Amino acid sequence: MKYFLQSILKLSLIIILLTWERVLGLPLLFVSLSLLWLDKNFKFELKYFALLILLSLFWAVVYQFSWLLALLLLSVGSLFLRSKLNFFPEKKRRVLVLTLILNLILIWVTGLELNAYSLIQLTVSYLLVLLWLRLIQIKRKTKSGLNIGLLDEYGF
Amino acid sequence: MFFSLSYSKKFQRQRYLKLVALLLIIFFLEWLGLVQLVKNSLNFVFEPVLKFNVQIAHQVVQPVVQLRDFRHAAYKIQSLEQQLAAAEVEVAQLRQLQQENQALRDLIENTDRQLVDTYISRPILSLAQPAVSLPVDENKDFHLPAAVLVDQTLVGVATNRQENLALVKLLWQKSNTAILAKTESGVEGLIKGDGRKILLTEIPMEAELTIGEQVVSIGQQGVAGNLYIGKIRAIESGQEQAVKQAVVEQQVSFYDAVVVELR
Repeated sequence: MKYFLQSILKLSLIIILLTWERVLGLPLLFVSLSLLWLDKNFKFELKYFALLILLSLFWAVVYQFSWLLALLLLSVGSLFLRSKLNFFPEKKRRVLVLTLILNLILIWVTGLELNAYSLIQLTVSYLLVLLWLRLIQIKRKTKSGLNIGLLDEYGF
Repeated sequence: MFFSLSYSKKFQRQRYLKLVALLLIIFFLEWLGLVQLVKNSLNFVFEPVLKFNVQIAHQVVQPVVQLRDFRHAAYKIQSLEQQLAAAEVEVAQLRQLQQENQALRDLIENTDRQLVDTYISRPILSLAQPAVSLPVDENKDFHLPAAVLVDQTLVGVATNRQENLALVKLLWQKSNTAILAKTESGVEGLIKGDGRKILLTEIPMEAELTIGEQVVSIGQQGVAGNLYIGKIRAIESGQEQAVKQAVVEQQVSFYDAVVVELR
């Protein structure tokens, strides 16, 4: 019950975040957090698929594009995040690169216009994701006394 | 291989298959058009949130926009001041024109004022002695000689008064008063009649005349200037003559006129 309520709360927050980013421009934080959340629940098959369906549906509805494409992008993104790429060994960088690639595909598909606000949003989002990952890293390190790194937990 | 998964191959294969199956299901649902129904129903949830966020974004962005506009405010005020000054000058000019216009209107509309002493009359036809009727009113002091016009064309001169009539000497008559006239090109001469035609005479040989040129009066006693007489139809010049003459054609006739104007 506790986990269910937590999930509902998280979904509500991510909806607010997604709609807010729709107003600003690109879904940078949404894609980053979705990838992290999917990656965290990758082992739990049912939860993973449920999240995949819901997140892709939210994305498709808010950004007015194909649900199939949203599903494809998030699933391929989450699979790439789990893969061991030689040129992106660090998962933190992999999340950022995947977020950028998925957003570029979104721009290409939906024809969103890039302007000065998009650049500001990109910079702020990048810093926020970095801060998020850094804070969780410090929190985990302090809690356990060991630096367990970013690969296992993201705090989401 | 480009990348490899960290889980077992079986798990990996199952995950791929399930993902492909899910994609196929969604594709099928989209093909059936059911996805759109789901999206539309979800829009009811997202729309209020989106509106709320738009309002917040507007409130957040508004001060930034105002700050940006504030930077150009001085330039805008200066530009507006210039436009205001130009508009004020234009308004002053328009007021002056309005006053002039009103004064001119008053002048025209004032019926007591007679700018040109004119009299509309009926021609009394007589080949021997054409005449026009004059006003019976004795108070109306009509000065003779006066130009006789038909449709703004000078056709003759009213000379002698006989009770209520004024005898008219038409331009083509031999006995008419010579009228000073000039062409459009400025060649001056005398309008005389030979009993059949109207002639522009006493033109120097070196003067150049053109067929079709308009002839107007120069102005003399009883005949105002710039009254239209006619157009040059032909030029006559003999070798032994010192001057040349031209035949002037009129488009109107005293005998066809219903009313004539004495000016």
